Amino acid sequence: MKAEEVKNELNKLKDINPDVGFCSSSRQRITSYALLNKPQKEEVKSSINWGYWFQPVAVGLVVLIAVLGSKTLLSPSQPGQQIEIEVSSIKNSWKLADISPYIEEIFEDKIVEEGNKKVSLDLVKGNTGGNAFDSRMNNSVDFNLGITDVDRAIDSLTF
Amino acid sequence: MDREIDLKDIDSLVKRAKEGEVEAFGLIYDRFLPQIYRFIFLKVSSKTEAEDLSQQVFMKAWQAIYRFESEGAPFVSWLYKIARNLVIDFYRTNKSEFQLEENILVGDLKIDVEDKVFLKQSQAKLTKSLKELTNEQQDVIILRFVEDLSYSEISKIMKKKQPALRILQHRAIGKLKKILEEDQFK
Repeated sequence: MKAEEVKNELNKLKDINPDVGFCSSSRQRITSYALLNKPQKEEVKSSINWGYWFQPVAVGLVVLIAVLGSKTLLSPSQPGQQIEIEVSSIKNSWKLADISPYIEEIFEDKIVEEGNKKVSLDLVKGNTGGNAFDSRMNNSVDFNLGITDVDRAIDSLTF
Repeated sequence: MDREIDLKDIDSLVKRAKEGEVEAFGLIYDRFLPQIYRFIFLKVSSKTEAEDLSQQVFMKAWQAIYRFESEGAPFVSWLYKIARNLVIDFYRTNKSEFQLEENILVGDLKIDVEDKVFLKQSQAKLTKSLKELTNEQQDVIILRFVEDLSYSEISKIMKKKQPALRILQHRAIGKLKKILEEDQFK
C-alpha cells in the first residue's frame, strides 16, 4: 500500500455528516441559548492593587528626588562650570592655531638673520656669498653654528 | 474565488455575531457544524458524544465570540481549536472509559453497533485505525486530509510550526499505512 492510497482511503471519511434531525434540533437549541445568554464583555480587571503598591512607590520616589536634589544643590562642581571649561579649552586651542603662523615667522626671521651673518663672514674670507650660503644650507651642522664659532671667525679676521 | 467570497461572507457574519446578532451566529452554525462534528466524531468515535461536544463547541464560541480576533486565521480555525480542547477535556474526564496516556490515545475504543450502522464499513475500519495514532497525529491527519486545511491553518490550530507538522504528518501516514496493511491480512 502506498501513501497516496492511504490518503485516498482517508477521503472516504469526508462523507461523515451529522444527522439532519440533529442539525435542526441542535440549531434551535443553540439559537435559544444564544438569545438567553448574550455574551457580556468582561471588564478588564487590573492585576495591580494600586492601594497596596502606591504608598511605598510614592515614598520611594520622594526620597529619591530629595537625595538627588540635595546632591545637585550641594555639589561644588556644577554642571554649568564644567561646560565653561570645555568651551575655554576649545578657545585656547583655537588661539594657539591662530598665532602659530606668527611664531613660525619669528623663528624663520631668526634663522635668516643667522644665515646672513654666516654669508657675510664667508664674504670677508673671500668666498662668494651665494656659494657659502649654499654650503651652509647643505651642511646643517655648519648652519647651526653657535655664537662661539662666529666669535672665533671674527677673531681670525682681526689677525 | 468562491472560497474568497465565502470567507468574506463569514467575516461579515462573524462581525454581526460579535455585535450580538443571534441569527448571524445561527448561519455560522449552519456553515460549520458538519466540519466540527466530523472532526469530533473521528476523535471520539461516538455519535452521541460527537453531537453533544459539537453543541458545546458552538455554545463556547458564542460565549467568547467578542474576544475572537482573526489575526490572519479563518474563523473555522478558532472553532477547531475549541473543539480540540473540548475533546482533550472529554478524554480527561472519561479516563475510566477511554485511556489517555502521554498524549497517546490507545486504540481500544469500540465502535457501537449504532455507530457502525451510521458509518460505512470502510469508514468504520478507518476510524478505528485512526485511533491507533497519537492524539496529535490524528489531528494532523483529520485536518489535512479530511478537512483539507492548509499547513498554515493547521499550524495555528495546533500551535506547531509547519516543518514539525510535515514530519508529524509523514510519520502518521506511515503508521496508518502499516495499520491498514496489517488489517488487510487479518
